[in-house]
Amino acid sequence: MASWQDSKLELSGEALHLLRDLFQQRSGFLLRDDLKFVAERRLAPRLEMLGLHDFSGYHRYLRFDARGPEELEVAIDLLIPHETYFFREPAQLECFVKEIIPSLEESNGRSRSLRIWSAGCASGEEPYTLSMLTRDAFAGWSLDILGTDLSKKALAVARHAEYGPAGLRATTPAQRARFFEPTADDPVRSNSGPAARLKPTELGRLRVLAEYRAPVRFGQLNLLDVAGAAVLPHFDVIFCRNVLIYFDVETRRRVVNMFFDRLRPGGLLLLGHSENLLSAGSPFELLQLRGDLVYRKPAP
Amino acid sequence: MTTSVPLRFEDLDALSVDPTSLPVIIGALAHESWRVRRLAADKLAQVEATPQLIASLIFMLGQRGDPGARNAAAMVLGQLGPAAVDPLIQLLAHPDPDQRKFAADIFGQLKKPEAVPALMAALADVDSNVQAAAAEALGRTGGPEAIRALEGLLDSTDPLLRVCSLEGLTSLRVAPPLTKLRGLLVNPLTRRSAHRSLGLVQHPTAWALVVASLQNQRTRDSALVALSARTTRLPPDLEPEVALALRHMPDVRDWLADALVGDDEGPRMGALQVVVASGDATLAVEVAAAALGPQATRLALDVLLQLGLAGAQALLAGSPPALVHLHRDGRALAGEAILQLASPVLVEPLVALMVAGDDELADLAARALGRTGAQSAIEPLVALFLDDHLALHARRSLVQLAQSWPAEVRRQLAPVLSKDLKPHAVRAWGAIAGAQAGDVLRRALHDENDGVRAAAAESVTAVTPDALGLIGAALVDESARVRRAATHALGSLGSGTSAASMVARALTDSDPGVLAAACTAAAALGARDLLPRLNVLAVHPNVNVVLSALDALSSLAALSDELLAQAVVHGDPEVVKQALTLGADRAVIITRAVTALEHERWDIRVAAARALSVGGPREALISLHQAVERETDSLARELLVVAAAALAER
Repeated sequence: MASWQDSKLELSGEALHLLRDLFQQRSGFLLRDDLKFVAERRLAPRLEMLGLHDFSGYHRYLRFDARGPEELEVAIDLLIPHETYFFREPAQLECFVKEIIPSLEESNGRSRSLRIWSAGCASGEEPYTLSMLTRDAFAGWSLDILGTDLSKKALAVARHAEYGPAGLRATTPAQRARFFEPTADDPVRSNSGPAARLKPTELGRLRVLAEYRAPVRFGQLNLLDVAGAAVLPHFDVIFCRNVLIYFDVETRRRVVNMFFDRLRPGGLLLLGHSENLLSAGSPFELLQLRGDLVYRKPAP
Repeated sequence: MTTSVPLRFEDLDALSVDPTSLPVIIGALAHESWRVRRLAADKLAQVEATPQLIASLIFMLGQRGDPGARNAAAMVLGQLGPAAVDPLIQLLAHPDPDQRKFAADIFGQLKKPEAVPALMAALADVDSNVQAAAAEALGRTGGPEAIRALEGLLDSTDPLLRVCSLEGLTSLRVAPPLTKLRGLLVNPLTRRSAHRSLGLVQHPTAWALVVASLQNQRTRDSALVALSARTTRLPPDLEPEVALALRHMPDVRDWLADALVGDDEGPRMGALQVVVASGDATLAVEVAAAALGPQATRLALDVLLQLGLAGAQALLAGSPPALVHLHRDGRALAGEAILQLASPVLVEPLVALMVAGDDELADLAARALGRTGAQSAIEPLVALFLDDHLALHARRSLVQLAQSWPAEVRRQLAPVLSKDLKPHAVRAWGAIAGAQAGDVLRRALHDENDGVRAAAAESVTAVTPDALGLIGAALVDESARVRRAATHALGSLGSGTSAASMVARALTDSDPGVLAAACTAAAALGARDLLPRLNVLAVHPNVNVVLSALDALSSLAALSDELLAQAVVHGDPEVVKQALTLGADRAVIITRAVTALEHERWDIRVAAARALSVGGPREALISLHQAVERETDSLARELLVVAAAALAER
């Protein structure tokens, strides 16, 4: 074992193809050729832990070992990046604030309730960002923001709501002062006052303030689990950014149809800026806003 | 909110392609939505290219008022194959220059050698756009005639044709004569394309011209394009010359940074090569960002390693660390470089990286800390045993550090083992403490957590003289996980011990994982007295057991033809592949391999081809060539070609 070196393990084209077939068959996850470099480096430590010497052995382990299905989840978890941060894709968020929120205020004015789903929320930065963007606009409303992800580990971070410099990198000092507080285990900062006193260049560990955590809840959900999703309520808006790109066409179609079912008529689906439903046979109608293209479930 | 775009995408998507639906699909090429047009084009590209279909599409090319439909029709024609060639050659003589240009453009997609004479004739077209399209198509098609025609265009009076000629030759990796290139290098209209061609010329004079271009503010971007023809670092003798050229450039850092993060691949690849000569390690982040595509990734990694420790420090600088902002591949690349460059001076930034709040980077930090070789890395690593996810990396890293600091690692790790035991801490202790690990491992074998017991069972063989006794107890553990770990460990004890009798016990276990591990252990111990049981397990209902038993029997040179014959028609493809691989020298397999070339699974077709390449008769070449012709999977086709070549050479 001592001679094992992860950087020397090569994922051959053949092994990549075999893993791709298996991932697609079992989960719909599309291990594209361009993920080879990343896959080699992220999966190599798994091979070491399992005492496997090459990726063909890993394929065999995934298929036949009693813990194969569990390992498959781990592998996909490693290959789908959870890298995210607060206020990501600001142009889309600006469109959400300036165009979609006013429209929701109008359409939901009678019920005074708003439901948003952050599908594939990773460690929670997106649902909390949505809470920060909507809470004040919808004061007095019933505001419910659901974050779901497949990764239990990411969800544990999300529930804890504490973030380091990486997650906070796109926040301004004003946003940090307004939405966050120093963590309890950071005595120096805790004693020196609120987050506003941090220097703008200082990005220590901060926790989302309780009032912005309150509307957000989390759950573990595989987006392919249509039956699991059926227990969810109907949403006004679904955010699913940078997730669909990791699915094959057929899986994307299934997920998109599931989103369609989970939206109220007129509800909106917002994807990442590099994604579209071109090849997914989408039942949605395309809505051209000034700041973004979004997908709408047709109203009756 | 604004109005929505009406869609018919789903109607078309649901439409099956047959003669009755063809008119609808062809009509959809003129739909107002580009999404619908594209879907229609995709569907039509898959149908048989009948003369009627081709005629309809060519008719659509003439619809001047509908550019969307024309482009969609061109897209389909470009995918239809040989049947489209003759009608398109006729179209090259159409009175409308737009139609002639379409024909040339489509030939660029089809890349059919039989179109070369017609395209050469089109180089003399009265319309310069048609000429340029024909030149581009020749550049895509290639072949000696096309190359000669393109070289002839280098003397054209029309700069557009000269550019087309240069680009076409470059795409065919043909270097034009340097004498012709010289003049084109200084002309602003041809400069960029000429530099791209210049990069292909393997001659000191060509390199001198590149260096001269680098020194000139107006031509330096083109010089980067010239360098982009290479996919490896600059040759050692050229690097000092480039460094000298950069010395007097005031804004070299900004210029290179812009090229590295720009959208244009040519300057990006060129800049990657120039960075090392610039000696500016602060460009490490931009270098990692330039890792887009396999070639650039390989080159960027090489460059980062050349930038050395200063480059690694640049990647880790800042809060959050600079590499946080990189795209997915850039991060993986930066991580690889940091792992390879790890040294004691990186301990502090790596510890900061670990708490930056990014799991992937925390993993990287934990792995890199072990490679720093620094005593100061021990403490933060020991703390990671509290984190189940990072504990794996902590263990590996501490084992590495123990090679330099054995006493210190043991001293700091010992307190962790006095509390609740953790699996990776137990494994680390087994690897680091040697014979002194015995007490902890014995305690771990009785832990209530089966993960801890399994870790102890894995580790126990290397450290205690009474290992066999301890493994014996683990083999009857109620947890299959522990029994599997113990069985794996048996294989490492070597023949001559009484381990084989324990393996015999494991070969009757109820858990398939234990059975599979026992097969492997039996082979490792050379336990031929266990052959009868292995033969029974080779037809076990569990596929993993079958695979392991077949492996073991093969390793013990006891795999019978009868078992191979059963395995090669097994219901699971992995067993079939295994049989084809293990029995490549047996007649019973070779006979089946020929039919397996037509199997529905690509991996079985490849395994069959490999079996034939090793043990097949020369006549099997015909079947292999036919398999290559039939193959639709690109990777499988490549592998079949390799197998056929191997058989031909044998």
